[in-house]
Amino acid sequence: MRKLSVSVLKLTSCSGCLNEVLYSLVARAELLRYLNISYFTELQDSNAIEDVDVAIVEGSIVNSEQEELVKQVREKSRVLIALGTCAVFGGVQSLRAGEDLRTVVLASYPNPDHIKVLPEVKSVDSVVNVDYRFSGCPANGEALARFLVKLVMGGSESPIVESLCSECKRKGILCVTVFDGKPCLGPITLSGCGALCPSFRRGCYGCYGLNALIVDREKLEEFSKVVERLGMSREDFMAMLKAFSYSSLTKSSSSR
Amino acid sequence: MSRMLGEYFEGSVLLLENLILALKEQGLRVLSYKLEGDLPVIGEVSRLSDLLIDYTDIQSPGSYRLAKEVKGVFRHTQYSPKHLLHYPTQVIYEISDDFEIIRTKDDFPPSVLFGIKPCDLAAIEVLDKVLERDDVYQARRARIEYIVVEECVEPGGTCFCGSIGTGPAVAKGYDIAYARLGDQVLFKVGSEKGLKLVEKVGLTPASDETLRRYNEALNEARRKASRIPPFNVVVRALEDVAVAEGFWREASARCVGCTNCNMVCPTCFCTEFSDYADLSGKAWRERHWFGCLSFTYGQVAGQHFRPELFMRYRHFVLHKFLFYQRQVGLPGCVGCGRCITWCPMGIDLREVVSRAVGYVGR
Amino acid sequence: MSVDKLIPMKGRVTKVVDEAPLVRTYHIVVNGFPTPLPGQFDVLYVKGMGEVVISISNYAAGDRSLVEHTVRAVGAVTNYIYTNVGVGSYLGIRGPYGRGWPIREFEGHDVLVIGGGIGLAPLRALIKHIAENRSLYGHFILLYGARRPVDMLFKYEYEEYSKIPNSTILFSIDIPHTGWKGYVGFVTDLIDRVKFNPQNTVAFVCGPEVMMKVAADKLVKKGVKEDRVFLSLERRCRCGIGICGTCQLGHYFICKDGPVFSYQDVKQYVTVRGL
Repeated sequence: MRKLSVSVLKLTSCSGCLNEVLYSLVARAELLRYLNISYFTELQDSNAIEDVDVAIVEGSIVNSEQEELVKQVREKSRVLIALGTCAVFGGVQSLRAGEDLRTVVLASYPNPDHIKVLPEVKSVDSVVNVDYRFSGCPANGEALARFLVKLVMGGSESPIVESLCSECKRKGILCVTVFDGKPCLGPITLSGCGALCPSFRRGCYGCYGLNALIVDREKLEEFSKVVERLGMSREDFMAMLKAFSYSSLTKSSSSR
Repeated sequence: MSRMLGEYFEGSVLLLENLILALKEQGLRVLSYKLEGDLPVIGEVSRLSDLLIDYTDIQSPGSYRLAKEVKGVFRHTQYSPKHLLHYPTQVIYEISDDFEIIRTKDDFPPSVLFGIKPCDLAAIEVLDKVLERDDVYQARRARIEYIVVEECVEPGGTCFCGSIGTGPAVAKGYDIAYARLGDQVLFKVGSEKGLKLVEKVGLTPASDETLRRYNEALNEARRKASRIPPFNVVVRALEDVAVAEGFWREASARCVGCTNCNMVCPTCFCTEFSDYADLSGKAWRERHWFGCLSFTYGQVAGQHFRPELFMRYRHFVLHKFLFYQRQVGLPGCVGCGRCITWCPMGIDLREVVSRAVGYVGR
Repeated sequence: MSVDKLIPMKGRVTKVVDEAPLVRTYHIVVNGFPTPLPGQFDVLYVKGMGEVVISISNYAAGDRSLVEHTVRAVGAVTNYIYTNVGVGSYLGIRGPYGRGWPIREFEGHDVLVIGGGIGLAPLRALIKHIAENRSLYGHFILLYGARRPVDMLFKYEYEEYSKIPNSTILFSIDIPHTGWKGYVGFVTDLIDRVKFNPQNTVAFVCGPEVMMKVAADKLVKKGVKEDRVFLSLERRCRCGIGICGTCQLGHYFICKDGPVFSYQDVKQYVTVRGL
């Protein structure tokens, strides 16, 4: 077991993922003893980015300063973790992609000149190499904490890529699509949340992101017909995909 | 006249209650399809009214509804006996700081499977063999004291047991089987244990008329449930298309790899392991169901043996129809139709295997 | 409830040998470990990290059995072993599992052993068996190839191999290297450079699957019967005892029906992409 130096970099996001991480770390005092926080602007004043074992990057990249910062952090970290759907896929701010930037900015800010953003929204791995991904809106803090325990022990973990339905069925939840006729994005969404929405008999809205290793454009099109038939408008479906799976939609379609 | 194995008895549908009570009197937990709130599940029942005798399940590709109707015909639900015998998620052991194994316990009381269907029974026979070396499955299986099967007089919308030969009637492996013919129930006895139970409940030998009605109903059900070409025809066709990538790409074109088919299939048994640790030095291993449609199925460090979805879909189908036969001498598909009903895309396995028959490679 | 068959024995690492970049051989001492056959494998357990299937590269019986495993750091568990496990470390161990090389069935035959890269590990005990029972077998040929000289395993034993009477041993590398006097190219090319009597030869092959297929096809073309060419296959093995289902290849469970198969038995499956 060894102490890990950690940088936590927050980019554009609501910070909800950081809250999740803090909740699960606070509940694990023994883990905290093994983490040496080197950079975390939400917790401490230091602005110096030093060489660390682990960098946790949360949020998406919306301007060039952030892009530079991420590159700097990558160079100075042994392991880089993208945390949350913003970091992994772009997140809800991707909803503005493709819209007129000035209109979008004016909608929220009286003085748009102060806002310097790229027209695109970028995920972390579209800019640097990412070693591990924990998607989710918010991410599952427990899963990250479990993973950090393994890192402290000197190990790591190979991800199991499966759909939310696997998790949902293992929990014995009756299918909300087949039984209740509710549109649910579970079949095309990555697992990890514990089938939270279906356990409340609601359809999944895909916040853990698209299972893009399987679901290509053609399959997505077929799936959209299914949810449309169940009453979800195409607009809503596309908005959910854009909000939680943006970077995988902009990648060229593969034929998995 | 002494009663014998293989004899037929009859009685009112209300006698099913006596049967349940007689089993409970022996201290057994009776497990059956039932309602929990408005959800059809599989779990413990105490009386006749707990069973779904006044309901009909309306199944079609990608859709399942439950309708309340007197003298309804209930087939099955998302769950199968697999959910009871092959636990979806379990901790297989814990290990202490100094490497001592801490065994975990399983609390599975002596039980009865009541009102399961012939396809369910066929699936249990498959699991019995394919999980022969699985201590947990076998320990639970050994605690199933009785199996009471309800034969199907009316197949469901996605059923095709007639083509596989796994239903709608049962021939062996049960203690008591019954078929509902309106208010009357015809009983078949499959074991000495079952015979003793029948004697307790007070059934009378079946009349020729009841037997005639029973045979008629079952023959009609078998005809209706024969919705794909006969099993051996399908097997030969699949052997031929096994190498035809085009066929499998086409068959899996709409599949999104969600694994619902794997999870609801009563014979899918694959599991994956997860490891956990805390910093006090304690660790534990968990195993859980794992579907072959998942991306990770076939992936090892540094390579992937089935990287494309069509390969995994092909494995799913060929395993059910060809490989189980070679592994355990039984068809791996029991024709229950769950993979069709609970597929959110409504992909119909019956169409896929029917298309294989007469498929000419392109 | 525990799955008793999945509970490991406790083993202690007594020696670690550097073999090649990212490859090390771990000597593990276990009380009362059953005697394995050449070609069988074990499941090693790293507390909190998981299990990994590793072939047994050597075995010595005794009060406390010594089992050797040659591990390449490629995944989460093997990387952990490579970076964290040393002399004195504890590992869980289950096994031996699977069907090994059917060496006893082929006494009196000439033996052709072909290894590629890390694939020499499960062949090592087989070579040792032949060396120790030399009179039971005819001509012995070993063809071994690796990417670079530095990637070759068990280099410290080659001198012993060379002393095996009535034998031919050839090495190859994929990438040209200064000072290398052997062959440069695929190890399967070496099949054309040795003389053997196909009627009386049994072949044992282990390496990347493509290499094994090429080797098998070549040998069959030269007249070796398909049921006398044996391959050791790899799939996604987890449990080792045929209950987790993830190592299936056609109707076989690699862990319990294999990992060693005759080419005749698996040809129908390994020649279909992604089956």
